[in-house]
Amino acid sequence: MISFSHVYKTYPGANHALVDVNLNIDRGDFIFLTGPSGAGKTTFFKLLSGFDKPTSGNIKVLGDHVNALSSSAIPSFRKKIGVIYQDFKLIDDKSVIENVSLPLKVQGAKEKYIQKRAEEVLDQVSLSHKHRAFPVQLSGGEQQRVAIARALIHHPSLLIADEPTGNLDPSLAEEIMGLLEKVNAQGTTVFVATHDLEMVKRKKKKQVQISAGVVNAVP
Amino acid sequence: MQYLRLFFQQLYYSWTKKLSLQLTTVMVLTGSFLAVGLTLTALQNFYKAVNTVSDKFEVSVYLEDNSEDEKASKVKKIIESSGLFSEVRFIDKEQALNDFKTKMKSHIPSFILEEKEVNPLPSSFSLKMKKELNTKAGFEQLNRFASSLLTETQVDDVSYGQAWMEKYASFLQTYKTLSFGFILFLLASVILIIGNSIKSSISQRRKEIEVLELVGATKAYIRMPFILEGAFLGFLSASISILLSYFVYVSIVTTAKQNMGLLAADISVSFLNAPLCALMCFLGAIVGAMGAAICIQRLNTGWAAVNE
Repeated sequence: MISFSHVYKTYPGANHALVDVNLNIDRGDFIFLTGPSGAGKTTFFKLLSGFDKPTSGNIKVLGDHVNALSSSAIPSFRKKIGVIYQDFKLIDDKSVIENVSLPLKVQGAKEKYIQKRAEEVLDQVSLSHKHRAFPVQLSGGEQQRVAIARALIHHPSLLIADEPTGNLDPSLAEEIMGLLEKVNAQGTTVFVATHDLEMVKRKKKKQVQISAGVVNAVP
Repeated sequence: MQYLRLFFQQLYYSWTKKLSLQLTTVMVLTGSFLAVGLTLTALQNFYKAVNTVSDKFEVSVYLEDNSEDEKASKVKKIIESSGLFSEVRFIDKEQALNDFKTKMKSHIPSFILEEKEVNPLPSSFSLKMKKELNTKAGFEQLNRFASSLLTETQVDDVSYGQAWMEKYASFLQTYKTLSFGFILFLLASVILIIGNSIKSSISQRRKEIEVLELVGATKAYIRMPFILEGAFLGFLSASISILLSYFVYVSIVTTAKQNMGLLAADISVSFLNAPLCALMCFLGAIVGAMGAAICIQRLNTGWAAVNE
């Protein structure tokens, strides 16, 4: 499902963000990507979700060679994955249901289907009662649940989350992680970047560690 | 349909969240289009005026004295086959004399030409140039034709006020060039104004654009609403400016009528005709879309969202 083969990423000034990354992740896995700040987590995340290209090497995600995608093919690739950010990235002047519906609207789905599917995913994240609220009226945890609902609405095979609990207190973080586990149990591959090692230990999931651009799978 | 829905959302957003900026943009654009409209109106009426003058302009082809009818008809054929003239009229010696007498009588009533005297006037052709040839190129064509006609043995002279014609053509060309230069300058400024307005829209909606990129929106999905917004701003401003141009035109004509007697001077003026008005609105929309398209070149390049 995900394969990194001899991937290097170097930024100007000989800043080596990733060095010879080789990695294979199977369908249905739940993977934690851990490492200290500046270790290369965000770079790895960008490459995996198609927001940057490697300097060299090959990245294959869901059958697409991400490093070789043309700019016009990028949107199609992004429609196959779901992405969650630490800062939620919700549109402030759109209601919860409008934010959640966005991926399907972009895909040109029918209004009736969008409505039905948005209600389903909002129910999944226990936010049906707030579908008309706006992001500013929600707590941090609720906003992250909206972001998760948005990432799930189009049935992605891969869910990528960059520090999804970074801005949340421990109880909310646990709640969000539980939600991601539920999604994973339904067959979606989940890839979570985090620096919360305590939680990683508790969850007992597969772990990939990154340090100074070098990636190692933790047994 | 999808793009139209997005466009109306964008429009609603722009006109509710930044009304003053939108109003300012429309006002400035209207001012520019007003200048374009008035320049076009002036150009149209100027052409009309010079055409009125040039309608009275005639080319005379004088034949050799004692030219035979057969030779005259050969010259007529040459003239007609040139395709330069809308009217070819033959004036024989007698008619030329009669015309001369009539003209002289109106200027000098005491002028009387003895019937017995020899008629000194030659037969001639009086020609009217086609309207569409009232251009520099048309006059150059006429010059060439006159020169070739003079080589015919039965043609004595070709007279058409060559010096005046050259000045007229040159003036026409200069006026046209200056007007179009001015219009182009205004349209370029319209592109910049609309571009800046769209840039402001983009900067206010940057977060939304980023989110759209994240969820896989295509370039067209992200850019089209801005292009349509630019086209709308251009179309709206051009339409308002046509209405304003009309009021300005009416007030100028009314004032001129009352104070200068302009209309009495045999020159009729008119406002832009319907096709020109439609063209101006269309041009407004196109220029608006262009302004927007130029400033969104760097928007959503596929890899932009997280990197910007």
